[in-house]
Amino acid sequence: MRTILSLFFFLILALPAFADEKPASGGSGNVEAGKVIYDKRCIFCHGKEGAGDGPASERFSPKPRDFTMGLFKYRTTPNGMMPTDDDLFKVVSHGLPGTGMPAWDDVLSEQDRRDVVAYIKTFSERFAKQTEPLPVVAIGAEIPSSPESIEKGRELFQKLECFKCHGNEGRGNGPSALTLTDDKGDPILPRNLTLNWHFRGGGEAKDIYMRINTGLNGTPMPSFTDSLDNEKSWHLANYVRSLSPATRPAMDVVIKSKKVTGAIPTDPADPFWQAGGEGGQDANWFPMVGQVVRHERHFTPTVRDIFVKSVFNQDEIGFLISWNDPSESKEGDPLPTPGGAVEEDLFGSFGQEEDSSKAAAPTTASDDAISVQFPSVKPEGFKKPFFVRGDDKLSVNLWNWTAGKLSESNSNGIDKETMQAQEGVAIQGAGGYKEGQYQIVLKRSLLSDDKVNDTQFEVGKFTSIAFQARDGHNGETGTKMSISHWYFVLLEPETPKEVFIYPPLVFLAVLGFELILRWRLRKSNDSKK
Amino acid sequence: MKKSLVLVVVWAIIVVFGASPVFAGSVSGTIKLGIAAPSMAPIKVDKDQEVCGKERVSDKLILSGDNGIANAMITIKGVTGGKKLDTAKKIEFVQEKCQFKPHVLVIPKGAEIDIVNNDPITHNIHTFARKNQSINKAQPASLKRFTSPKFTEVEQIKVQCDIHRGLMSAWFFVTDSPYTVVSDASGKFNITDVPPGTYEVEIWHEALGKQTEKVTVAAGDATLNVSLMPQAKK
Amino acid sequence: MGRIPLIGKVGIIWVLMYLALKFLVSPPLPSSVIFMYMSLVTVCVLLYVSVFQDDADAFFGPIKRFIAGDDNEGGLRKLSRVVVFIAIPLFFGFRSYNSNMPSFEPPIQQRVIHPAPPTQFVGLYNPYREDKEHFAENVAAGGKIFFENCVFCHGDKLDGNGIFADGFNLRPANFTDPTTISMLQEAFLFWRISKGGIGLPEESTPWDSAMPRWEAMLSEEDRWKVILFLYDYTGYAPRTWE
Repeated sequence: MRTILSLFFFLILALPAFADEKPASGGSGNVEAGKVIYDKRCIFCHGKEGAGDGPASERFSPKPRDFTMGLFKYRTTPNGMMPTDDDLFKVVSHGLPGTGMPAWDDVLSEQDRRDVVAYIKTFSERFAKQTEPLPVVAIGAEIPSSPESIEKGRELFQKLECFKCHGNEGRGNGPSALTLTDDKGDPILPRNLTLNWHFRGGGEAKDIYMRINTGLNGTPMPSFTDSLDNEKSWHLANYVRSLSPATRPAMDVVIKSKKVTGAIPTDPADPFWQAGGEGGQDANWFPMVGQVVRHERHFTPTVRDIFVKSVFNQDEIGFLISWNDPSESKEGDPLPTPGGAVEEDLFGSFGQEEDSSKAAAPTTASDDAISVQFPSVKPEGFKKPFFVRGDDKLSVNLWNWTAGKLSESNSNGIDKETMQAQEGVAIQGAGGYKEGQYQIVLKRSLLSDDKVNDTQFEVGKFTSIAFQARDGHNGETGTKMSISHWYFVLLEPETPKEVFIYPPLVFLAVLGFELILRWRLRKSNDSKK
Repeated sequence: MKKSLVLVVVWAIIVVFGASPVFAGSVSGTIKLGIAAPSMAPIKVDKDQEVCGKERVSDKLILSGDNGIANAMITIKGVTGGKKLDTAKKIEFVQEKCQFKPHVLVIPKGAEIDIVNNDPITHNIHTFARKNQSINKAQPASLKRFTSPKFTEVEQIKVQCDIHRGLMSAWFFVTDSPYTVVSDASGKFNITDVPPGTYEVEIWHEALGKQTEKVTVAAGDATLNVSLMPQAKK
Repeated sequence: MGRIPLIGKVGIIWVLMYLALKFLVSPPLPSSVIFMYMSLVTVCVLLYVSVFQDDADAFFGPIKRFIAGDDNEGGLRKLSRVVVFIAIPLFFGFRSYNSNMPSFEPPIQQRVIHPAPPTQFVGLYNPYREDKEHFAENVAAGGKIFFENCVFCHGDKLDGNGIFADGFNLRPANFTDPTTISMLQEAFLFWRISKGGIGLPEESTPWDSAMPRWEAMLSEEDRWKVILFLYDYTGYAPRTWE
């Protein structure tokens, strides 16, 4: 009897505990409330059923996450495991920079975001099956960055063969880079490690530490955790961090062209252009975007950053332009098939379970190219030609470097380019591709004979300048390219002589006034005594 | 007296339901390609040639001289009783000369496997699991061996090394049936301890798809020779 | 109050006036305007203290004593005078340096943000606005068009922060900003969407606008539907023709 009674009491006591456990599947979020938010905010990219197939998915790269796969890239849990609620909450809150995923913390309340997380977890049964608490990768005591730590990290980068995908200098141009796809079969490129503002999961050493230990589920990025301890993780993270600038470059809309005394070398490797040389100043950084203004638009450009510096002497103006590209492409180069070495269709019209629904992609590359754009003629007032290759009324002057060939052209619109006669080409230039990076010098005389088609440079005047880049491995021909907006180049005038004359005069005049005042006051004080 | 009665009853049940291995037979045979062998150009290796070689035969379809198909998976379906799944057996999955060995690996549900790298370079073993915990681990030469997480769900899983994409691929079959085997280099297979009965046999090959056959196991051994035909493209 | 010397009071008033102009006035005043007002304040203060002889003594006395100094004053007082005597000419010298140094500020152009639409767009109504029966359907269709085409610049949140927004020197419009679509008629949006940046009048710097001429890429129906979506998603109501 006593045992039955105690069992009864036990059941009564245990009941509330069972009742509490019920909604635990959604963490602290409410699935129904999450669905309402999801259906308004998330559905256009991630799709009604969470399969990452909303209307926006077609043109985005990377594509929106397919929640039904239960594979999440940015986690704090070990490789292959589900993300914690906080991992998902963090992505929803802060977004993934460089992708279509925005930070929602300014629109959705914390509870809203928790609710959405709860709803997202209903799309994959993997979450429901995850009954045990998830382990979390702990970040141990920090080893601050130092030249020694960076050097040890560099050795690990070599030893673990990170360069196979990320390239010797980390620009995402390793030998395996172009063959990679994610678990859905969509092409994916290794991260360029020299531009950490594009890192989706954060660009600081602690974020890198987490990524190399957890790997990115659903992508070719593996976990290195079995080969790293806390110390090695920090060394490698510090090294990777050191490949990017200490701070994200700020955009200055004016390229200040620096006056130099000697000749302008066309070789980008010349010491002239290096730190300490006459043209060794910091480069301007500009964002590049897909040409989405005119038909046919380009939504997945390769080149998203361009670095430019400029110098001039009494005769010439020169630009050193650099940008990153994971592949060097020339017209006719065979394109790597995503999936690596060519696999034969063994049985002709019979065959394998491959997906043949995708449209036939081009099999050869086109030329990598860069164009520097100026207004052909400096227009009156504030007027400018249309920033995407000019318009009907005002044309632009383009300096083109196309896989090593130099040309000049004029354009009255994206599909209205007129090449200038090759024998009249006045620009000079050189440079090329090395370890995932192009460095090209282009220069021309300040003034040219063709005042109608060639832009003319005057010291002290602002000249509009814009850039366009093409990656021949990414189908960037015709209207497809990366473009920049209009910026300015200013040939810095010499400091006027007034700067050295007036300030000292003003100083002396004011000081003299003070002394006279004091002298008079003392005199009158003396006379009063 | 009582004890011996129980023994007799148990023995009788075993006899009636045929669950005793004593009466089981084996199913063996050869899987062959039903049409002439297609011509296959070797794959050109474009990286790590000193380890991977310069050219490689594709893993996708390996034929013996008489058209026997290696790496076909054969499973007898719907067997009740019979032998138990052996989850304790040590299973090794090896990376050697930029090749996964074996190309098709049967993993009993609940087992874990040892993943071994015999190459002096880094591979990454990447499983495309949807139900099991997926794996994507870098295995540099310094990490000779590690143990996978347990495979807990029945699933067919594609495996590849992304670094050597196109060269290194394999298949895992996580199965809850102890009657699942892979054909050898000459296309032969042998499944033992099958209780008598008539069963469906599923044969799968990566380049040839799925085919189902029937087999009847009586008191003795049964033979099953199968010709696989390529499937028409959808 | 009485214990604070006049010069202190004047100083406090002067500083308070400056802080008020600098931080309380909204929108912020340009520094040249603040300079003008502060000059006025200074003149007024000097006038005020000069009207009565007692005030003038109270105000100028300490200044005169500081400038003139005393034969038996301490070293600290002497030092501070030297510092002030050098700091003031330095300040004016620096100002002169700044005004003589050529400025590298790029030319700033004024532009009209919401110019008047051409006459053929005046008085147009969204044909889908009154179709209550299919409203949700049409909004969803507009959403699809937005996320296939507009999202790259105007952003997933319609806040003008799409993945390409940073690359354009006229930032894409932020539809969640209360000064954009809620102040405009649907016909205005229809004009801007149909004709794009290149269709703007010159005072609105058409050469800087990345807005495509959507009539070349989207049907008239699609353009009206996307407008329907913009208002529905942001919760704003369009301005109507009065």
